[in-house]
Formats: sequence, C-alpha cells, structure tokens
Amino acid sequence: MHSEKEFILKNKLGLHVRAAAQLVKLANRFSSQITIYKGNLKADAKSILDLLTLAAAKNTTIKVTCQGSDAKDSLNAIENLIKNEFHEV
Amino acid sequence: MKMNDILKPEAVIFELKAQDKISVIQELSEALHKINHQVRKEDISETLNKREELGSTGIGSGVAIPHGKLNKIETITAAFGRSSEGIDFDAQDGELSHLFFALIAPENSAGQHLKALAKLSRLLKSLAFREALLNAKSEEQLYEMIIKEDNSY
Repeated sequence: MHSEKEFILKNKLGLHVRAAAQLVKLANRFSSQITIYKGNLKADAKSILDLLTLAAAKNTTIKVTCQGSDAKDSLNAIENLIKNEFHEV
Repeated sequence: MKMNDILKPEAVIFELKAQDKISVIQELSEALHKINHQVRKEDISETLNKREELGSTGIGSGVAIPHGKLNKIETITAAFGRSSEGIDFDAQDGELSHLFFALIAPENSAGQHLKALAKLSRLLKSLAFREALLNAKSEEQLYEMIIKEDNSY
C-alpha cells in the first residue's frame, strides 16, 4: 500500500532536532517505509540524521510518503503530529 | 555556510576526558568558550544542559549534537569532541555516543541554526566518515578531515 500527502510545517522551529526525534519515534512504530521530501531532497523518517539534512524551516512544504502494510495508519499518525506542531510549547 | 566558518581548530578535542553527560557538556562548553571569550563557560554549559532537559541530543549512530541559543553570541560556533570509549548521553537509540558536535547560536537565528544542523548531519550521515573520525590520529587530522569532507559537497 502507498499513501502520501503534502503538509506545510507550521511550528516555530521547523524540523529541528526535537521535532525530528519525535517524528522518528512515531515512524518507528510502523513497519512501512516512510520518506519525507522537501523539493528534490528526501530523508528516511526513521533517521534523525537524515531528517536534519532537509533543513526544513517553518512554512516549508514537505511531502510524506508511506509504503507498506500500515501505510495509511502511519500517514494518519504523522499528519496528527505535524498538525499538533510536534507538541511544541 | 562552510564548516571552517563555524568550527575553529582550537575547538577540536581529540580525546574527551569526560565519561558522563554532565562532564562532556562541561568540556565542550570550555572549548566553545575559547572562541567566545565574551560568554562565560558556565552560561554555555547551562544553556546546553537546559536543552538536554527537553530531550537528549544524542541522535543515534554514535552522534550527539548538544546545542543552544545565547544572546551574547554573534555567529554560530561549533566545537567538536571525540570519545573512543563512548559516553552514555541518553541517546535516542540507546547506544553510547562517540562524536560530539556542540553548537551555540545567537537568539533569533532559527534558520541559520537549522542550516548548520543540516550541514553537520550531511557530513555525519556517512558511516565511512564517522569511522574515519574515530580512527583519526591527532586533533589536526580531525580538523582537516572535517573541513575536507565539507568541501567535497
């Protein structure tokens, strides 16, 4: 199964270390291969190092693609995390 | 932004003496203080420690990137330290951390900060480069390797 969706990062700091760590933690709960795209750059959502290479700041558009048996659930979970601005205070 | 703009040879520690999280932050703060005399090293370590309280910057693969913002800093500055034995830094993957890149940035520099982190991550993503850093023979060699690898991008 394949699911994908675009999002605009609205949290103040963008995909900084803490946000990336949260994303990795969430992504690791799923077996799907999850990839984050920013323009022509891509990163494995299960690696903080990889995610940080995107330098995705606030208001960046990213595309999330999920490939695997739990693709739909993983995309929903990630959508929630992004919409909740990575639980930033 | 190039690595030689943010990392100076004086801020490279060939072998960290620290064996735990608190002392490695102190050692890196001392290195950062060397190139930022205007900031007390206690203020640097306090900033880095506060950030760690929000969650470890031990991001896995033996890499840790303690960082923070300080209003007395003019430009982003990095320090690098290496621990052959490894230090328990509460890393996200539960492994010991060996390569420490500390970053301090001015307030309101979120964009620059992200770019510096991206640059570091691009270098450190390579397993071969991480191993090469661990096998370096001197401070000078470490510094050269980092600058050279950065210039190859």
